[in-house]
Amino acid sequence: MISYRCGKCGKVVEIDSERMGIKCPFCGSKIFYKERPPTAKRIKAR
Amino acid sequence: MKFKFLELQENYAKILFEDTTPYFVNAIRRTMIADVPKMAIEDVTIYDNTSALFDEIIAHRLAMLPIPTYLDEVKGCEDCRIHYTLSKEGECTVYSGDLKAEDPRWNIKDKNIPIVRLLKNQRLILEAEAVLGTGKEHAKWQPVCGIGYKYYPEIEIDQEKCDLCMDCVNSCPRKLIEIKRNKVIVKNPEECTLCMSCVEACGRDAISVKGNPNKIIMQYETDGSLTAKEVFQEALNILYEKYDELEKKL
Repeated sequence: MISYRCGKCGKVVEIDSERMGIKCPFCGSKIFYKERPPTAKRIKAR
Repeated sequence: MKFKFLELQENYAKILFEDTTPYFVNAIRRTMIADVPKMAIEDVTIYDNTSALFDEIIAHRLAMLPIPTYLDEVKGCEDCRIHYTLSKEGECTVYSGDLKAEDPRWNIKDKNIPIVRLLKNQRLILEAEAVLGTGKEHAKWQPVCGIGYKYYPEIEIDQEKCDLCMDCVNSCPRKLIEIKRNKVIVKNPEECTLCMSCVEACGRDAISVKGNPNKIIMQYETDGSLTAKEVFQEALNILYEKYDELEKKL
């Protein structure tokens, strides 16, 4: 289960990748944004 | 070889070399670009970035910042690291001055370099580490910019052939030629770029412009991490060591 943020109502929704299709249970929107993982990201400045 | 500083500011220098050759001055130039070490940000740890720019672009922008480099302290020290932290929330613009070092001595020289603009509720939290490097590895470790040299301009005017037609005066893009007491004179020959406009404009072949390859003017700027004088001194030291090494191996 991965959580995504709904593009319409802004609520964080857990989505099961096994199932086909995604839909927000609160507003019915089908547009989602991937949340930034809380871990620190190390990159080379080049 | 002799040299003297025609102009010396903190971040800018103009040097006149005499009794030299272009090969030698070019060696100094290339050493300044590729071999003089300076500090630059290499590792960035991003904790949060909701700005409009990608993490990589922000890291790349941070890498370009001029970090004060005290060569006598960090020279040869590959493990020396300067630690910086940055934490900002919009609405604002993040500037290089917002990057805080543990010791304020290491804070970025130029405080007003914009990094990213944050809108309301956008955040940027990161840590960065600067390490010593040289320009041959990546341009962010290049302490000088706009470095170039030219032959010393020698402008000769044949006053007998000259008819004071003003063609050369008008053709000079740097306005270096003028007429004084019915004589064509060159105000400041060092400013001449050897563009030959005056030679082409003169219908009577009265002007000749030549560059003297044994007398060379070099000018450059630094990004602020080192002073112009330090870069020059360090380049000469490195060159000297290299020639020394070569001599020993022969």
